[in-house]
Amino acid sequence: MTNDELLIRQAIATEAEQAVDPGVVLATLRRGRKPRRTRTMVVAVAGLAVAAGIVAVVVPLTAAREQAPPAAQEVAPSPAADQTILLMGMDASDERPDSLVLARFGVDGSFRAVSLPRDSRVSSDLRLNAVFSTNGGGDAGAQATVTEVEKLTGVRAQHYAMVDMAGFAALSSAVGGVEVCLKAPTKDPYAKADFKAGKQVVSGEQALAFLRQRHHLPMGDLDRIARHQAFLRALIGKVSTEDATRLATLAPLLRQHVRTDPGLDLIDIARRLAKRPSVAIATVPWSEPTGGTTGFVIVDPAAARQFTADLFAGKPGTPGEPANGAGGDGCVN
Amino acid sequence: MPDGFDQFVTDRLDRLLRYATAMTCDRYLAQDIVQEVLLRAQRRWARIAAMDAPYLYVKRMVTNEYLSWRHRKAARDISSSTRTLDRLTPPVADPAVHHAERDAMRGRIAMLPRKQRAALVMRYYEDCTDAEIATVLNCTEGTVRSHISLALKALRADNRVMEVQR
Repeated sequence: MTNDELLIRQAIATEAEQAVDPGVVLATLRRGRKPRRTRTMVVAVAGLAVAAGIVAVVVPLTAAREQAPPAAQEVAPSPAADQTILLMGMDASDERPDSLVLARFGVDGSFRAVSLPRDSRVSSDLRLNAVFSTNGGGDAGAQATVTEVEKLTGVRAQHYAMVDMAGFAALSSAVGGVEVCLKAPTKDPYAKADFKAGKQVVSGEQALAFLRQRHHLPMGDLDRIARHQAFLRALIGKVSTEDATRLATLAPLLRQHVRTDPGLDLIDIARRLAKRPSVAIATVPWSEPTGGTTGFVIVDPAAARQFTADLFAGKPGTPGEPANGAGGDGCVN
Repeated sequence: MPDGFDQFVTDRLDRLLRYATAMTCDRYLAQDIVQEVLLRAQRRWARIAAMDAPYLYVKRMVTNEYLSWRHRKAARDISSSTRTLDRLTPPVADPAVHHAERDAMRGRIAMLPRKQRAALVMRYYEDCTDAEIATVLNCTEGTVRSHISLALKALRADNRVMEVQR
């Protein structure tokens, strides 16, 4: 063996020595076993878009409260129909909705939502989050996405709302930060995340990193999903206790970061949510493809339709709360 | 009969983690990948266990997971993160005189294209044959030899001033 080869051998061995303790991985495997065994992964989830969606509707509520006399609202209640909206959390390039949530705002004030994996296959080589850009983006892209989501879930959204990622940094700062709790310290250079364990208040860039981090978590994307939900709950809690004046200052931010179709009446939605909604959010059942294709997940429309119908109907036993992956203390990975 | 998968994990997890760490030059990325792959393998264990070489197959899954990693910029980030890590947590002191050379080599290996590095790690860490590496990388043995010779050339070209001190 040459000296070079010897050195390479030693260098690689040294690199290999850096491996994490197998015990860490074992623990994850044991924890991961149960949910993984059921082939349809039903994980309570809230996408980024839901968080934004809630803020987007709760905040105008406050504005409405100030502008319209309360009596007027009681005399003229919201139209007696459920509203279904497709919420899309856009990635940094604004070309792909990375978070897709079909949300129903019930007449009774309930909020029920089904999250769709962004990698759901919609045709042989197209995933759900690519529909937007292949149809030219903008309103056309959004409408095309609404149509694909309808094919999968059997429910057509009447409206859509798009939220860009930068909005979260701004929103979380504007409400003075959002409290989250982590089970363990974690770092991820990709998402620029560097968090200690335990309760902490995140805002701005940190909030963005918290919501984006997917790598270096025990369960990857599933942990991110649990984070989204934790963030959402904290954000709702925060927003509901804010005073009206402060919330009113958020309106320009929302106009900047949330785009909807022209017909969406946020004030109407906001009135519904004012009744302290019961919130149920779950992911549509999905499975991995049986072939060797990677990067896609398969959503069976028959199962997805049944699931969506049950969840929207508020059938008991439908998942939604609390989130899998969040401990009893609300801490996430 | 005890769970065959559990046995496999008990026997092989450590080695898989080390292999993945050497290949990715990032212990946490390696952890992610190995976890992800084992969870997947667990669900298809009956089929994998029936194969001639389950370990080789799982290693192939791990390798493919890394090679198909979405973030193309990963390789660059990883090598820089390796250097950062080393600065922050220098490897435990080794009395060997060529300690510095070895770590310099580590840095250069981290800069190699991912396939070349995977082949290199299988050759020099796992002591695989060309045929085994070809199976894992799903290519011909000729391609394996070419990966390795390109890698060695790059490491040497980079390395003119270096000679192991005796």
